[in-house]
Amino acid sequence: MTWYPATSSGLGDHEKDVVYFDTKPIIGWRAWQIEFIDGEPQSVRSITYPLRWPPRKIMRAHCIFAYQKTQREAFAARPHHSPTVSHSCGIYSVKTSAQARTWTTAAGQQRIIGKVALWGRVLMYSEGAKAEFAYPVNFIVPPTLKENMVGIDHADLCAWLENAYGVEAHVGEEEFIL
Amino acid sequence: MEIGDPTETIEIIPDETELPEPLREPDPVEVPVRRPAKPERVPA
Repeated sequence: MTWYPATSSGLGDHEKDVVYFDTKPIIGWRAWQIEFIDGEPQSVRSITYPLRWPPRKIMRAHCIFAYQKTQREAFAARPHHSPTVSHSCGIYSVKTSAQARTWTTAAGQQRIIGKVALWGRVLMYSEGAKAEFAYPVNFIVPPTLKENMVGIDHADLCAWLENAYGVEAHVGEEEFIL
Repeated sequence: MEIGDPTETIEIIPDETELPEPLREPDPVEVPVRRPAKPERVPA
């Protein structure tokens, strides 16, 4: 994780220049973790911080450091927009499915990938983006996701994802060819 | 998560039609207006 020191204004120099405006969300890729309770899928969550993505509602970035008692508390005490270059908060995405796939390799977790629409304040990076608002465009279940591990077969998991979030879901093949 | 180096900032205010479908307002449904029938005039 890259840590950018905060400036006196709380904004990095890069952010003082909003380069341009657009009306179309940017499409990126990311990974999610599936939350199960008693063997039933409940929601998809972010993978670094297990924040729930609300079904059929906009996911909005905010800096959760403000709620943590850590050594970074001094930074959190200064309110700031999320995302910002000066801090690591924001909704992350990468450019390709191959990059997103590398986020699914954590042992013992049920992770999926998919495209995500990003809008609001979007900070572009050489390998991805951090955004203010987001919503999944589709979900792709790894064929290697062990059905006995998640307690539900792939087809049922895809059906649940489609019903809950209202977007297409399928078991990936080409997205997971190494 | 490593996403490289910052390049630029974009402010995106999407048209509603550009948002993922579950976030769009449903098209308004036209409900036919039902008017009460006029009472028949009874000749005096």
